[in-house]
Amino acid sequence: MAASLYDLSAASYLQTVDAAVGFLRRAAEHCAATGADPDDFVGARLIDDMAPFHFHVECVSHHSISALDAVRTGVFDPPPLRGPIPFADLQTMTAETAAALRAISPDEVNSWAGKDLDLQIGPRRLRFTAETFFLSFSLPNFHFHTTIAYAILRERGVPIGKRDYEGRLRVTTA
Amino acid sequence: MATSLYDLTVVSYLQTVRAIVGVLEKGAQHCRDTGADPDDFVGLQLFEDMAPFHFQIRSVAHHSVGALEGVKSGLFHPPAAVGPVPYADLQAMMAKTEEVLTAFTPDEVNGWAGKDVSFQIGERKVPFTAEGFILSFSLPNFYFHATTAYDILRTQGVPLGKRNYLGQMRIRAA
Repeated sequence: MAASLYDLSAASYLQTVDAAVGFLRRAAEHCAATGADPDDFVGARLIDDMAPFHFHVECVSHHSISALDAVRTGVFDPPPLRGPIPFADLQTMTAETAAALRAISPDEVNSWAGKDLDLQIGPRRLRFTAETFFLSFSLPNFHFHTTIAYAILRERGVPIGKRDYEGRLRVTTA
Repeated sequence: MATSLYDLTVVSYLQTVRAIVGVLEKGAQHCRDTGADPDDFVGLQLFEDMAPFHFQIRSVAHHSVGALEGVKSGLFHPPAAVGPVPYADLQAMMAKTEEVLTAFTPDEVNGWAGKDVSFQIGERKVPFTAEGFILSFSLPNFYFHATTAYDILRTQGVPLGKRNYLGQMRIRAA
């Protein structure tokens, strides 16, 4: 037994996207409790020359649901960046990504196992298989952006800890 | 076709551990260029209640080689609390991690497929299969700490970009 394509992609994304939905909600609740404005998070950055919060949150979707679309269609084509939209819209986007991930069937994803891909990613053309695309491009990027979105909120005083990042672990049921 | 446990673990860890070896070298080079002391990075935190740089690097080792040792023995423990060490020692730790990962053979690792693995936190044991442990616990934590270590150096002015974090992707020859 080893991992199915569905388990290493959709199920993994879903765990962390659900976690992101949760820590975005915690941020909104924190603002409601303290009188802060969640829209002030939208343009926040770890440092001046790094990307802003809204970009990282958009990338959480680009490197999960759009990664699955890329393997399905053979073209990596995330939706155009929406820019500094209100915090509530970033929450909606992330919740929609979770719903879309839930709607994908294991059978469909598993039918892509071993598929060759020749993807245009930014300026580069990269030849992957479905597996190497998920494991060597998509998952590292996915966690990179999710971690930075988390860190920006954490740095701004939202009371979250790594459990909130981890989300619901896929444990064995007794 | 399923993905082997070796590809999920050793191959994925190696891509990012090698990337972090490079990130640390860029940090050391930046210090040589500017006259800064790399040991000043060791205790830095992204935010005051987050773990320091040395812990992030130690966690990259713990959630890769440590995760494989946990799968092998069936029991994974949180990282031991160890204090700051010189920056050069963190570099040596990452180089050693790469070396140990390289020494695992596919046959050995794939022999652990489907094995029961528990994460022991105090009195509590969280039960996983080897695959569930790697996909839902180890890899998210591994990328989380690698990203946070990168972020700390990046916010200190080390000239890094996401390519340095991503490392060498597993692409096919044209």
